[in-house]
Amino acid sequence: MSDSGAGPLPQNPSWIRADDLFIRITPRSVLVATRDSASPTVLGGGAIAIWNELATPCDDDTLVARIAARCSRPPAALREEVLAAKRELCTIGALIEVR
Amino acid sequence: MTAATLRGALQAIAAYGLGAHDQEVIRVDAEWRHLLLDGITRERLSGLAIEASRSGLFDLSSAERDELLDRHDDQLGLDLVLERLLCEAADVLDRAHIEYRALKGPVVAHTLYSDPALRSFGDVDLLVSGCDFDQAICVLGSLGFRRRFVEPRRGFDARFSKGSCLLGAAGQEIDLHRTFAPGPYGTRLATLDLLARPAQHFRLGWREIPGVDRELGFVHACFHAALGDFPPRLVPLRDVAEFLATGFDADAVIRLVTNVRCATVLQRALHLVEEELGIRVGGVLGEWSRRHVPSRFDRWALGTYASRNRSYGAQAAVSVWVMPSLRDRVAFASALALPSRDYVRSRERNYGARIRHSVKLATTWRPPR
Repeated sequence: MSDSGAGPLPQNPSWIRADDLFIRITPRSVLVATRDSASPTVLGGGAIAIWNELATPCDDDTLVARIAARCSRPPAALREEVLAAKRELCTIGALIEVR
Repeated sequence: MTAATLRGALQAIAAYGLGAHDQEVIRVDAEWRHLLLDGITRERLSGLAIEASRSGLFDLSSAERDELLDRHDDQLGLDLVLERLLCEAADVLDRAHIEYRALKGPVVAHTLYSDPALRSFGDVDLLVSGCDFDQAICVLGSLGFRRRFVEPRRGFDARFSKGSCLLGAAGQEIDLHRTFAPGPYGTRLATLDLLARPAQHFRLGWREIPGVDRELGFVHACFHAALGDFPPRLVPLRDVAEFLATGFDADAVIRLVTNVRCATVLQRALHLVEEELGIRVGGVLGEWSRRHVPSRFDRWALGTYASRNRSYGAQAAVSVWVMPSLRDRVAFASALALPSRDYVRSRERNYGARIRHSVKLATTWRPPR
């Protein structure tokens, strides 16, 4: 990396929950509203585990590995599902990329 | 099961976890449970109801528990939308250099309760000074909010009212306050500069929000609990009990309400916490409350709030007697007796009926000798 800070991006960016969200937690769901979302998103089931893991920075591989460990299943079997849920959280502005 | 026992069940839920002296398991007949769920929803008690039900305070079938969780999700969705609205309102007020404090719902949810999901709300409450009041309404208009009700005359709300309810395009409400209650006690409290007190900031969404400090927050909770509705709503009483459980400068509160001759409001709120929630008020405030003797005027004036005959008209009539100057009294009474044409039209009355009604109120509501 050069002194100006310019340089190649890391191969595996990490993600974390944005810090400007509106959140409520219930016994079966997590509700998340962002600055721009029309209405709150209700996370349930496996999406809650993904949400919980993203309290700290996590790249895709680590996220999938942690969720797989929680479910006692091979990472490859869950990868697509976990990353789709993570992408949805990114789309609504609930996650930010950390480098 | 009767309506009274249903109310008792709601009271027990509202008191849950705060050491009510007779918190026994609630027995609700199956055929009454839908009414209990409706009451929980109406009183915005779903968060506490879920906690109470999980601890076994009352029984629900699996389908009823799912129904309660669905209703809770709906309420929390509204809470989040309103919190975002509060941030947007704070942004526009800051840009206009208008000083304000957030009140009630989001403030107590985030600074007082152990979990904000336990304290739901139905609107956004903001306090501004009378001199900034009309400007604040104008500024909040940029978010699409307009007065819900026409004021009797231009400048009336900024000078005399508790505040003004603003309605947004999506049906959300901002309650813009000048003081904490309509009628004589709100009028008395408005003699204080409520914004002179330091703000208590809390984090919400993308920004810090200035809320009222703990002592003023407690006073507001008491005003809301004691004067807000009859029968009293349970969430404001829970707020009072939460303040009592978490602590604040009780002597400062007693001084504040005594100085503006609103001590009876505090006493009534504490009495209602004991009576409705079954929570004994101890310490400095409990001692003070049991010793305090309300004046004849207070017993009379409270009747305009705390009875089935409560009415805005009666509260307004009694307000005249506590206004600090003759000039204020004349301006207030004449604005209500002879309001603007728009106001009369919005009430579907004519001036003759309006004057007759005003005279009737003025003669009915004269202070006791």
